[in-house]
Amino acid sequence: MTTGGWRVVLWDDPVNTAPTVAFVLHRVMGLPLGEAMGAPLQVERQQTVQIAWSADRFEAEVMAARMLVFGLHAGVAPA
Amino acid sequence: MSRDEQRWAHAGMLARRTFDAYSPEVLNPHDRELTRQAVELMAECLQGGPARRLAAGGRLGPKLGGPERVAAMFPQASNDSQVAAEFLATHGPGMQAQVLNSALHAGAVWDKPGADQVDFDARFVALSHVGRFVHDRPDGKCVPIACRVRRYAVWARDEMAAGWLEPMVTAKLNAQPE
Repeated sequence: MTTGGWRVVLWDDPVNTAPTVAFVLHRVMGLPLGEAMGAPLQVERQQTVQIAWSADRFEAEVMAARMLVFGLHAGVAPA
Repeated sequence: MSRDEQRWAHAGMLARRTFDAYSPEVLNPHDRELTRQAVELMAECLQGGPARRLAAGGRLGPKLGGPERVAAMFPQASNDSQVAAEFLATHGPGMQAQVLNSALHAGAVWDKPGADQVDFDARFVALSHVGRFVHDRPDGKCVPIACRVRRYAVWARDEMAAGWLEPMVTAKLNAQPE
């Protein structure tokens, strides 16, 4: 059952390492440094982590697209 | 050790592991040149060019790239295949255009010393995609030249990211109270 809106998610992948993921989340997505550094550990443990949420699907997709361009395996999912 | 320090330590450990795993081969200048040529090829293919051999890969090297690799450039953006297809239809051309711009820019400033943030971002994006662009094959086998490009690209990108973050991480750690 969905609660509305769209989640921007990051999936674990075999290529990207912690510094790479942290760099993109901080530089491109604007996450605070501590949060960006913590996300790689979280995604490694849980296989997926929510990076952002938006009520607007297009806005969520744009955020995911920016991460994809910078090499992360990102996407969207209904919240 | 605080939670943040544990995070930094873990990130540093991963970066070190990557460096240790890749440095003996990828510090080879030939791999760097292969990667530069692969970035050029990626830019060509994003503009509709066909698969071709890399000059640095020799006359008997495999053809790399091509339209199929362009089409498979980005991983699926949703577990729902319909959402993923709509995502690709809406954002695919724009994402490809951004990678193309980055590949062209990265090729132009490949040997430029003292890169600025624009150069840095272009190199990062180009390196993010060139390995996957030349590496994946339908049969899952690895073409040696493509593996070398991928290893160099992954290593160089990790070094860039770690170097970019390092001053901020150091400042944050130094700012923490005893």
